[in-house]
Amino acid sequence: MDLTLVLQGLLSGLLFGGVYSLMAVGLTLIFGVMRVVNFAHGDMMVWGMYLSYLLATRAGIDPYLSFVVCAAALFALGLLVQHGLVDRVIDAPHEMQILLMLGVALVLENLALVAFGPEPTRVRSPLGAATLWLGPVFVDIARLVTFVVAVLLTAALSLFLYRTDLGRTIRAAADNTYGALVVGIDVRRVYAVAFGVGAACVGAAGALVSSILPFQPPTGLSLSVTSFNIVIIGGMGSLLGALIGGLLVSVAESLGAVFLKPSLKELVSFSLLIVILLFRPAGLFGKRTS
Amino acid sequence: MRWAGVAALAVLLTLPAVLNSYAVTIFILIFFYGFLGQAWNIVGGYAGQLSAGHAAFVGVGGYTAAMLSIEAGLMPWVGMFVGAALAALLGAIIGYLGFRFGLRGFYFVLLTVAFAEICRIAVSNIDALGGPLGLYITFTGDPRQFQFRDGRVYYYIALALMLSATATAWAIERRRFGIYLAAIREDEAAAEALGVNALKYKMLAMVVSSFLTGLGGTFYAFYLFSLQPNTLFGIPLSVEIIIRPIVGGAGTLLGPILGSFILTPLAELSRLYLGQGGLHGAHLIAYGVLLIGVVLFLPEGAYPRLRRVLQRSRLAPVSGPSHPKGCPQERSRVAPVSGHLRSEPGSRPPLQKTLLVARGLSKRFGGLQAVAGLDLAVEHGEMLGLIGPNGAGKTTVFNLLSGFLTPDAGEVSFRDRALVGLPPHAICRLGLARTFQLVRPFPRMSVLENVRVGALARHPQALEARARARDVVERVGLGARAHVTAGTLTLAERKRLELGRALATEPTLLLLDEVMAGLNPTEIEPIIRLIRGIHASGVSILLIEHNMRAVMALSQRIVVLSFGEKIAEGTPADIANHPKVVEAYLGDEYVRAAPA
Amino acid sequence: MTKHRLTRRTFLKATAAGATVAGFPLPLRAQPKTFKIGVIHPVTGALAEPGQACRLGAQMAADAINAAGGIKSKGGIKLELIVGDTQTKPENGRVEAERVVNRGTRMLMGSFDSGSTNAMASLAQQRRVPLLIDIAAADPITANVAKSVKEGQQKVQYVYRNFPTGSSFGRKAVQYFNEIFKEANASPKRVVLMYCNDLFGQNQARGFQAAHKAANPSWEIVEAIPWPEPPSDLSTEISKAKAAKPDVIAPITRPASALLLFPEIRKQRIEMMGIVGPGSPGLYEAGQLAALKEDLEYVLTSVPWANFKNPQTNAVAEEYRKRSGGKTFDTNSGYSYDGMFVIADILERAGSLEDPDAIVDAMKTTNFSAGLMQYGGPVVFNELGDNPNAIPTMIQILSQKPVAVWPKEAALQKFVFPRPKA
Repeated sequence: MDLTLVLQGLLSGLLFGGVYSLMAVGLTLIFGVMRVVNFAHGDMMVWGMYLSYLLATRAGIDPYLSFVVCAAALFALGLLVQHGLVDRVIDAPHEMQILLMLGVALVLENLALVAFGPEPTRVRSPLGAATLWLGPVFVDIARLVTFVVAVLLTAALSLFLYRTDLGRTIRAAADNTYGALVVGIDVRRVYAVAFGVGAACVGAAGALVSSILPFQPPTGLSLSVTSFNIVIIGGMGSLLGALIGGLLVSVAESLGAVFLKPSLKELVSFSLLIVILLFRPAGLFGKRTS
Repeated sequence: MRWAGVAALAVLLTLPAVLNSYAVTIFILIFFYGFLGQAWNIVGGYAGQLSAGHAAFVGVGGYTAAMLSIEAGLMPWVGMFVGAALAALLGAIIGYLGFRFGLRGFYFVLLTVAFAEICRIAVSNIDALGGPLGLYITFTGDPRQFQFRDGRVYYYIALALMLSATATAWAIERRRFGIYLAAIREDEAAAEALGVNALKYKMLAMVVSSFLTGLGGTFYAFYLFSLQPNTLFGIPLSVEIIIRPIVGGAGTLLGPILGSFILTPLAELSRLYLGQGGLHGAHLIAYGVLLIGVVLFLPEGAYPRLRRVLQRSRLAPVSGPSHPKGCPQERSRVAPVSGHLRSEPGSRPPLQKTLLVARGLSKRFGGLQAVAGLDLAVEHGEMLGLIGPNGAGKTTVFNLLSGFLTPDAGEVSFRDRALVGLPPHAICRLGLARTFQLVRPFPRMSVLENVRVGALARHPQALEARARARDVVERVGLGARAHVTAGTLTLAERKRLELGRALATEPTLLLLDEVMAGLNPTEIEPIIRLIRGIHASGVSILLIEHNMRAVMALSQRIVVLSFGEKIAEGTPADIANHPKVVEAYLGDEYVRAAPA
Repeated sequence: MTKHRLTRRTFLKATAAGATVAGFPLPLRAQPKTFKIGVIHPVTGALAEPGQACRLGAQMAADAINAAGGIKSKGGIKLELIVGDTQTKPENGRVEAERVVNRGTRMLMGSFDSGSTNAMASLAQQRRVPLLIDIAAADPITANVAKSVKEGQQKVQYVYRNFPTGSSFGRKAVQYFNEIFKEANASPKRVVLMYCNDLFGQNQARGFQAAHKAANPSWEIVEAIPWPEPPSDLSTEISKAKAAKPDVIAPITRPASALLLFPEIRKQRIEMMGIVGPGSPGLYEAGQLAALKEDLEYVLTSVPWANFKNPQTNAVAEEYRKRSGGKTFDTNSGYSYDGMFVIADILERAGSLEDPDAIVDAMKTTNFSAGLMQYGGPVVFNELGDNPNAIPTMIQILSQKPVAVWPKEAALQKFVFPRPKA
């Protein structure tokens, strides 16, 4: 085996992990607080991507700036979905929540099809093909930036959750809905904010990776599946888990592409998922629930 | 009223004579997805284990039959059973891993998705199976090859599939298997405590479900003439399989069929009327909105709602109990077995040795030593009280004895059988039943159905168990409430139900965990009488109780626990005056009050 | 008891619902002035993009035929298209075919994706409705039918295809590779085949590898690298290709993977003669060019291509550009457009429009040379029901425009190979 190739695979995988981490952060936040599994996650992200695409092609705004706008737009969408829909089924059986989010996913996907057409697209990266060569291996600058952003976003969200009053309230509601009610927290409002913040992360992530990942309306499903993998591996509800899980899955797939037929690389991440589910169902960084 | 079903069947059987071939095709899809939904319903609905990877079973079944037909010339009529058997094997593997490792809810969803995806990726990379290009079946119109020139034959096959899956579900529903599945779905731990081997029944449900789904794979392959991994193993097919039963009402017999009769034509209609214009995708938006609407307005599914609406219109004029006066089976079966229960309290062994002996029982949770080296014995026919301050480890002792926890050290023998390592359901079947401190009724079942779950431990015939359960319900004083949904009972009634359910397993030893907590004095008095009665009928009792008067009155002997250790043991009188107990637990107030 | 009664009630309700369903597809056979053709493509779902192109191409052709006076030998009867959407699901290939046949269509055309197409093909055989496959490359679709007719399991073949099959794509691609290398006086030795591991990609890759083996040229396929489609990342795959020290990278891409592959190839600075692919549909679209720009410059790929030497093609392409919102008249729109004209030609020659076997007889004797696509000869159908003259063209992106460069008779410009060093 070519050592350079292994090294390059490791490096590319690690840097691309930033993309995966960004994908997973919003999902883990929403699940961690509300125990609602957002099957429309990927489709919300695709909307973030299309918004940044519109802003880049129509207004010439770089995704590294427009992500703020995308986050705001998705925050609003998140509030809407939470307030109008999720809130009403928060106590319903699991399968009904899943059905609801599948319905939302279907609507979002096909609205995108109507609005943007079926062609796959990708925002041209403002960083272009910038690379940094370290001997025989190279660093993709756009991915490096995404990687750094992923780390920063995770850190910022952690600060928000652990250092602000609103964040503490959200965590309290997440840990113990009943307790939160007892001490006078308006749990529904907290949920709406949490869903909004989670969706905003999804929107920001969509914008930030829109120059790396190609997308089209049906892309949402595969984004959702990959994000679920990462979140389970990292630990449902854990921000650090989303970050590390993203890196791990990406490196695993990249090395899978090095050592196996690349068309089998997703086998590696699904196998990893099964092993984690069986032996550490709370994920690498998740809290064990009794 | 049997004629209605017969009439419906007759209509379905004669429809193809009057329908055009497109309508026949739509019915084929309705039946086929109704069939797949019904197959899924067995594990996803009745057992409440949400599999979102059922496409894998369609794929395994279809590919097996197609490969056997193409490569070995085996008739699909035979191959479909080989395929279904392999699908069942895969179901058993997934089920075993998921259930053995305790994956519930969303985690089980993802496990099943992951397995289906692994199958899809694997098949996409196996050239012998055609890879992503898939397998292509030649149309010959040869019935032996599962091919027909007349589309109506597929109609009857699909109808037969749907009816057979429904018959299977019906047979399961009315037997112990189905009742146990419902109990597992409602509360697995409570079911285990009543002697339900949850792992076994969930596995069985998974195997039956995946077998049936595997049969569907052959139909799919030979109706559409090609197989591709993305369509047969893909997530979209899994989603198609689950949405119909959920919309119709998961865990109900007719829900999956109703769901398919609603969604399949609607998908067609919306494509027909919205899919033709320039707005590609408008029909799928409409479909998505419909799914959302179902969740918001029919949160339990269409069938339960329909049933309620019909029930209301039917029963409105009749002022009476909201439930039928009883099926004929009930009436006929009650008489011969009533009275039986009291005369034979469990199958009691000859009185020779101590009934239950625990030695050196220890359990640690992190830094907390919950139970430390406890020795405990319950004699035959004894009523033993277990008391101690909050956090003394009483409930942990119950969990250790009943198999819900495994001790770090120590041993338990019950009727000369070692209990440590046995699962709760096995311990229950040996004659050791328990109640839970925080009552755990199966909320969506009636009182009678709740108790019947316990009775099934000794009487595997559903009807006989029902008769037994009736007796028990009467005995615990819930006779008038037998058909009320357990979720609507008062706390006092729930406590009685909890007691009745455990009693229905016909135990030799009954572990009662604070059956009086939270009750007011007028409610406590009858419970005490009830416990006395149970004891008098020959059941040994170990009870945890905070109500001192009750413990003192009931117990022949009392064991006092503090910080996981036994600090005293003796008759109520001994205990009341034991200085250590007084100091550690009872306090001055009780000492002053006791002589009264 | 109540429960049982209710059960039956529900059944009745359900049946009532079913009866409504049965009622909705009212056969509209009362208009004799048109000949109905069922045109089925995936206009939603994963393959919505090519599916919509196909539908528009077919519609434009029908409009043109009707504007020119319909089927003249049959009293100027007009073509009426009954369109269907498979949603990229095979079962809908059958359902939609069944629906349009019930609305009185006497011919079928479709349906891009091989799974749906095979479902349509079986229905065409079963219901005796002639099917012209405008696009779908899986060899077995026609071959299986031909075999069962030959073996006497069926009497008549109703399924014909005017599109290159997977194996013919491969043969042509290998041939073009050889010819271009020779013409350029270049002798690449190491070719790395990279392909999307989906139905299309695998079909093309298999055909290419088989043809390569059969032709045994001077160049070698040193490595074949498939990736899952759609991919989220291809950088390791490209690194793997780079490690194989290629002279030529031969990619088979879908539009989504093309967006990842070509920039990555450039990023990783692979020293080689160029990129020559056996097939990359959609690469030439304005959207792809805008997104990929210089990453596509000098890329050669073998795709079914319109004959732009024909002025009529240019006129139609211009109209297509207008009606599609700026899209290229390409493989999909082009073959669906031609497919409709082939059908019109068949109908002109058919002894009767009422008898499917008469239509099939006309199909078998097709010799149509007015197509807008680049063919290797007139449209004819061989013993399998395939058109051996349906061939791809090698195009190259030059100055950000797709241009036909090979075979010579189709070339509008001379290809650039090896590509100039950056």
